[in-house]
Amino acid sequence: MTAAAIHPAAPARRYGSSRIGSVIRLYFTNPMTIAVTPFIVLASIFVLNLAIWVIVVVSSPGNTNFAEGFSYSGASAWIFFYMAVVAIQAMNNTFRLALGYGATRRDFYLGSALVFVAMSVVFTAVITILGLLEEVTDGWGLQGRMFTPVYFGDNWGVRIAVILCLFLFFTFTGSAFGAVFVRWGRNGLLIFGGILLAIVVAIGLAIALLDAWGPFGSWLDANAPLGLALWSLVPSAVFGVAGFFILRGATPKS
Amino acid sequence: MTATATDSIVRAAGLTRRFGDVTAVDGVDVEIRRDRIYGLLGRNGAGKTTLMHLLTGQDFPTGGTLEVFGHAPAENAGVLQQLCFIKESQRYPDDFKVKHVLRSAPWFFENWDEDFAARLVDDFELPMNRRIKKVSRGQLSAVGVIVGLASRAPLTFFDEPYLGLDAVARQIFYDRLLADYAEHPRTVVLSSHLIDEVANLLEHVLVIDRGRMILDESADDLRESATTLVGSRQKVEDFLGSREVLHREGIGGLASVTVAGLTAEERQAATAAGLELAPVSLQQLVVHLTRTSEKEFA
Amino acid sequence: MDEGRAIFLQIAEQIENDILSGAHPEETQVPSTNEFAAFHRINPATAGKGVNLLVDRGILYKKRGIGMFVAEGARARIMAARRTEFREQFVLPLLAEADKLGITPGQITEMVQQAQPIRGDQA
Repeated sequence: MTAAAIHPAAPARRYGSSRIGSVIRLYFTNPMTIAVTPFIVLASIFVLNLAIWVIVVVSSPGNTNFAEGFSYSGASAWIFFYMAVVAIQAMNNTFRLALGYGATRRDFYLGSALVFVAMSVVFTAVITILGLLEEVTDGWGLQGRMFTPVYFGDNWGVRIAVILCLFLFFTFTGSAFGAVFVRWGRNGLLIFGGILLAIVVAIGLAIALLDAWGPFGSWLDANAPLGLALWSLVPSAVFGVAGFFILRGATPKS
Repeated sequence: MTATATDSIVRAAGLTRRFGDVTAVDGVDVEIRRDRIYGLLGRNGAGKTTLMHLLTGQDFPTGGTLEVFGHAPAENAGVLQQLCFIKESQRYPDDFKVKHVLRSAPWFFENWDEDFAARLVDDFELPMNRRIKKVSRGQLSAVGVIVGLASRAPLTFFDEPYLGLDAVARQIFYDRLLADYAEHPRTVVLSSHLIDEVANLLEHVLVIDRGRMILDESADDLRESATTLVGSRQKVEDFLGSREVLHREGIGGLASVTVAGLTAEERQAATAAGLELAPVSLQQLVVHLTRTSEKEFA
Repeated sequence: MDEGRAIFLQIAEQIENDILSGAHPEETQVPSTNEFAAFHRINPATAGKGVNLLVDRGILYKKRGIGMFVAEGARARIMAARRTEFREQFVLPLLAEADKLGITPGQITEMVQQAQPIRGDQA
C-alpha cells in the first residue's frame, strides 16, 4: 500500500561512485563506429591497393623489383585520420550524451582517454599482425606494402612503437580539437588551429634564421622514424592534458 | 504541510547566468522541496532552460549560490547521479539507434526500471531499430520521456519534453508520469508553456519571466488567488475601488476585470452587488502576471 | 475540474456528494488517493489533500494497511454542514439573480410552492 520510496534511507553506496566504466561502455554501445567500420574500410583500402599492385605489376613486364616503390605506401595513413575523427566526434556528441546522463566531465574525459588508448593498442596490434602476414607472404605475393611501409621503420620493435605513437598522437590531437570546438565553437577552433599553425611556422622560421636546415635535416634523418615518433608523445601528452582542462569548462548547450 | 529542514533539496539564492550582455537568469531565489511535482512556467526565452541547465550542473552560474542535495551540482558525481535531465535539445552520437539509448541509459541511473521502460516503448510505439537521426520529432521526444520516467531519479527535470508529441501521446506522458509518481514518489520539475494541459499535474508553480522568478506558489493557492468579476462597467468599478487589478477587458457596457485575492465575504458582497464571479485558470493567471511584469520591466 | 477553485476542495466535495447520494455507504471503503488522482488526472498530493480534509472533518477515516473508509455518522455531518452553507451557496445567489430580473421574494415563494408537487416529496 505504501509507495516504494525512491530516496534510500541511508545514503546509497553507489551514489558518487565513478561513472568512468559507464562512459567506456557508452563508446561500445554501438560498436560499429569504433570496432567494425574501421576494419571494413581498412579491408576496402587493402583490396584497392591489391588492385593497384596488380595493375602496376601487369603493366610493367620485365620488371621484378617493385618492393622499393611499393614501400612508400601511404595507404594505412587513412586509419590514423579516422581515429582523429572518432576522437573529435566523441568530444562533441558522446560528451553531450554523457553529460545528459549525469556523468561528470572528469569521468567522461578519463573514460574517453582510456578508450582511445585501448583502441590505439588494439589497432597497433592489428596492423602489426597484418604487417607480419605481409612480410611472410612477401607482400601478399605481389611485393605490396601496405602495413610495412618505409615510414614505419625496419624492425618490429620500431614499427610497433611508431604505430602506437602515431595512433596516440592522432587521437589526442583530435580530442583536443574536439574539446576546443565544444567549448568555444567554430571560432575557437579556427583560433586554435591558427595558433598551432603559428607555432609550426615560428619553428620553421627559427630554423631558417639560424640557418639550421642542414643540421635539422640530418637530425631528422638520424632520428626518424622512431625518434620522431617518441618525440610526438610530447605533443600527444600536452593535447591530452589540455583537452581535460578545456572540457572542464565546456557546457553541452548546443 | 510543514516544511522540515531535510525537505528542501534545491536551494538557490541570487542565482545568475549572463551570456555577454544578456542576462538569462537574473538573481533567482528558489527552494525546491522533495517529492512534489513542480511546474516551471514562462514564456519562450524566459530562462526556463538556462535555469534547468544550472540546476543540473550542466552550465556554470555567473553569480549567486546553488545547492542541490546539499552541494553545488557541477562536477559533483554524488549529486548528479540523483538527477535526470531530459531536454529537447539532447544530442546523441550519429550512429545511435533508439535501442542504443535505452541500452545505455540504465548504466547511469541507479533506479532504472527495465520493465517500465519496455511498457513505455510499447505505449509510444517507438521503432527500436531506427536511427536517432531518422526518427520524427515526436519519437525523439518520446525517447526522452521514456528515459526520464524509467530512470526513477530522485530529482527529474523535464524541459518541454513533449515537442512533436501529438495530444494523445502527451496524455500518455501525463498519465504515466502521474501513475508512476504515485507509486514511486520523487521530485519532478516540468517546464512547459502548455500551462492548461499540465495545470492539474502540478503541486507547485514557479513562474519565470525575463530571467526573474516572479511567482512561487502552490497550485491550489494560486487558483484561489484571483477572481474575474463580470458585470456592468459602473458596478465593477464601484466594487473595485482601489483593488489591485490583474487584467481588464470589456466590450460595450460589459467589463470583465480580474482581481487578486478576494475573501469569502468580499465574494459574497460582489455577488450581492450583482456581479458574476468567474474562476481564473492557471494559464490566465500566469499570462496576466507575465504581462504585468513586462510592463514593470519595460 | 473547475479551473478556478482549489482542486482538493473539489475532490472533497465530490466524495461528499457520493456519500450523500448513497454511492459510498458508511463503513464502506472509498477509492484510494492514487485512484482518485489517476481518474481525475490530477496530482496525487492534491487528491491526498482533499482526502485529508475529509479525515479532518470526520467524514473519512483510515484503516491501516487497508485504506480509507466512510466514518459512521458522516452523512449526517455532511448534511449539517451543507445546510449551513445552503444559504450562502444557493439562497443569496438566488436572491441576487431574482433582484436582477425584478422578481420579488413573494413571487419566489410562489414559484417554490408550485415547484414542490411536480418534484414530489424528496426528503
